[in-house]
Amino acid sequence: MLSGLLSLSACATTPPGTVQGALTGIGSNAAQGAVSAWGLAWGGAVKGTSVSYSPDGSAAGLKAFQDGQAHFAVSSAPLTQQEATSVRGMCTSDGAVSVAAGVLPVGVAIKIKGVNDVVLDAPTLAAILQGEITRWNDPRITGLNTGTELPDLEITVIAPEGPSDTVRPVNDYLNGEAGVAWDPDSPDSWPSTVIGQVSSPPLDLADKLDDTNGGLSILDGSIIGNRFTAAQLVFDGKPRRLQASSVVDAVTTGEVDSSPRGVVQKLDGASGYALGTVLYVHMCREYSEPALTRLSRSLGQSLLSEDAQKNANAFAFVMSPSRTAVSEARALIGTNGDGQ
Amino acid sequence: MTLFLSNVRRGLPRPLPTFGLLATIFALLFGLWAVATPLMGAPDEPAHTIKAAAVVRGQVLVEEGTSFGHGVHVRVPNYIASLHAQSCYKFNRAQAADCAAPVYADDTFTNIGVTSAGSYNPMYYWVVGLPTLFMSGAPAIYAMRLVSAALCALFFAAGFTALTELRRPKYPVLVAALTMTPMILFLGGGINPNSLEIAATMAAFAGFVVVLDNWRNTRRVLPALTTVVAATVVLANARQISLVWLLCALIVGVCSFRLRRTLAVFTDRRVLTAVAVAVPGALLGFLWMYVAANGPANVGVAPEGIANPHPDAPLYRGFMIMLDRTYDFFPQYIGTMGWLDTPAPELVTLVWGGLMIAALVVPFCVRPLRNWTGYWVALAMLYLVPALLQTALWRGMGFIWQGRYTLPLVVVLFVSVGLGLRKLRFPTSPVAVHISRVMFWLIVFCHTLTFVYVLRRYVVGISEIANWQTLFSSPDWQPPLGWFTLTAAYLLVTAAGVLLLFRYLHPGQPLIVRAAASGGKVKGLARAGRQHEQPHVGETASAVPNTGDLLPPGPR
Repeated sequence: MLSGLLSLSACATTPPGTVQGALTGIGSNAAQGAVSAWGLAWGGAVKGTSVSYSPDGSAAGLKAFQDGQAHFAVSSAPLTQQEATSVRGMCTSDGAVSVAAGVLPVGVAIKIKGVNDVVLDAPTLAAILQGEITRWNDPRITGLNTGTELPDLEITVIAPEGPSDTVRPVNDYLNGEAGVAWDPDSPDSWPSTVIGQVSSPPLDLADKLDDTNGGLSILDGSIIGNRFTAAQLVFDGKPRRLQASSVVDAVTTGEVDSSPRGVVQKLDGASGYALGTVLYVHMCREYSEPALTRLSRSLGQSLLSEDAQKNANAFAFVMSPSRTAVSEARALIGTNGDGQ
Repeated sequence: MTLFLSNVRRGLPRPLPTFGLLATIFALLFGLWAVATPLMGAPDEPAHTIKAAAVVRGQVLVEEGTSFGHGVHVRVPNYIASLHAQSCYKFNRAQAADCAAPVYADDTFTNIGVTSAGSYNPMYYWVVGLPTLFMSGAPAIYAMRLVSAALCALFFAAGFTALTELRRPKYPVLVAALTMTPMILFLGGGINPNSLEIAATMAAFAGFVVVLDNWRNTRRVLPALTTVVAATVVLANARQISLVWLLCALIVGVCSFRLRRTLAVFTDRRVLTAVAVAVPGALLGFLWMYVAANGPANVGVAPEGIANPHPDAPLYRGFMIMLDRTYDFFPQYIGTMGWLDTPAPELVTLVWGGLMIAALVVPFCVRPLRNWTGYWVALAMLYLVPALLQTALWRGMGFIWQGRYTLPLVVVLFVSVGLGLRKLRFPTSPVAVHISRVMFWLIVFCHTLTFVYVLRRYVVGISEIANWQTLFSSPDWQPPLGWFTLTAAYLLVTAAGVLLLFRYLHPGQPLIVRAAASGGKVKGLARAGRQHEQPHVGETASAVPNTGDLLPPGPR
């Protein structure tokens, strides 16, 4: 009995500097697998820690973060300078920082019986999504796929309804292309001209695509896997295949913008497959509770560690940001709460 | 203790002392499970603990902007908000509980807690959360468990006390006692309204059938009537599904007696008064359901893992899968502890499985079959009700059913077997007493084996090799008071409970027979068995005096 009572009373006071507890995050659906992998790595490395993450979307995540309903948020875009400084919620007046923490490749998934490889470029993809090209044997497609016999089959577009984190990189890809009229209302929503928009979770979209011969959808790489054929996309005049190595090439040579408010990762289409959602983690620079600052700093450092990034790659097909981005993000998060 | 021993010597005492005695035994059993299980080791315990701490702090309704896909966000002390971080051993029975961090008492700043029980009726949580208002850290959470255990103990004790008020109570009491599987005792030690739901359903059913059994003189069973009222109000305000179990219990109760009797009972002044008290309490439950259904919208959908919806799946498929799995849930009724990660030892599953099969088969052997209407209805409910409920949730939530959800109905089913048997004369021959003695010790052994096996899972982890010795040599984790002390206490309490039951069923007979005397008795058993006139299967006790009433004459 004495040992039992002693063991309970020994837990009365938290030792100084203790890092333990649960953090709550809200944000991008595309980040669900990565956050889960980061959380597992963190819980394994730091005893008594865990992450509760609700993939309710980037916008809901940012609102929850600003309203003090989440310790952190994950979205597909960094906070603007104004957003970062004006965030309150659980933060002190120091506001927030956002760092690139992963890259989830996005692909144009197609389902055509007997066809295992298709090349598309930006103007062709835009024309398909807007319903201007309606059959797979359209000359504009066959022109890019000499040597591949494409059937006289209707193209059925099954596009995720925006706003969506998988829409954003496609908009970026099509927006930057000369000769493509692509004018979305917001960076993560389709232009109103895009056909076949479906309001379903990504896995349901995949099921629909599976059932549709001639179908085309925009899905993240973890869902495409070996289940669907991912179209090769033309970047900088060269067709690039959705492969981890090619995405890593695009990340490695991608530009990294660092500031006291965050670390931004860009993808370089000149060296690899550059269609991907960059996952940004937003945290307070300093929390109103010192224990939360220590805890979030620990999570931030951990999720950028080699183990956590390997976890995310293995479980969720999320690539690590470039070495430069990781190193600068770790340094930035390491300074969180320095004012305390 | 003296009173307890004297009560045990005399068999069960009168209702109030009986209730007190049984409540003590159940509270001790649940309490020992509460202390033996590491914090948050019971299923869904973090969500319910966080909800309880929020409710006692005034966060009863879900506020706008606080409902997310993974649950409702509330503001609670950080040692409560952080309880999800205790789950490192969850789903991994090889992992001892030492991976969990301490829960510090000074970790009290207000933080975000996430609970998937956000829209549940607050009644249970109001009571269970109280200790967090004046305690903190691990002691506060153990205190919450003990409060929940006490609540469950009250209702189980009330249910058993009611059963002893039947005119021929021995079989119902025996079967109800055997229905107290290790799983039910384990659940009673955690923070989860599921355990209260089982206890209250049992109490409501037991009280109701006692009232029906004593339809001509309801004054005699006022405690049972009170039990029905209390259990009804609690069930209506436990979980939404609890109302289904209450309805099932009442229907089975009605079917266990003649309809004329039910109609007569509901013209009785005392019963009508009880209904008048119970109905407003039940309406409160309905009111809460309305409020919860019209709460603020959730900003997201439950993420994968919490829900796995099948939006386009045909409904009949969910129904058929459940029917197909009806008996797959039996091991979970017996013992699948932790987060479905720690099944009871095979021996325990075999013993209770055998008892359950025997109970299910008995009604086919005892004529006339029409005497078993309550049983047939309860059996049909065991097949259909969970299947219908799961089917209703199939498209939105996926396959979420667990055996523990059905336990209220399981208890009703098996007590209905006891009710059907009550017209048989209870065997009192030396052979029957000896078999009973052996079986009771087997039950004590199985309960204790399960308890120590689950402790082994948390103290050193269950590995492929039989690592029992490491419990002594190198325990990784220890519950308060230590695993050995708790196991010894558990053995004593189960033995005391079984002794009480044995004395009640076989007054004057010892549960422990001295070796020398035992040898002589065993030799004489066969002879005595032949000499003793046994009731034949199907023989009723209509002409037999009430052998269940073991109390000395006097007011009851």
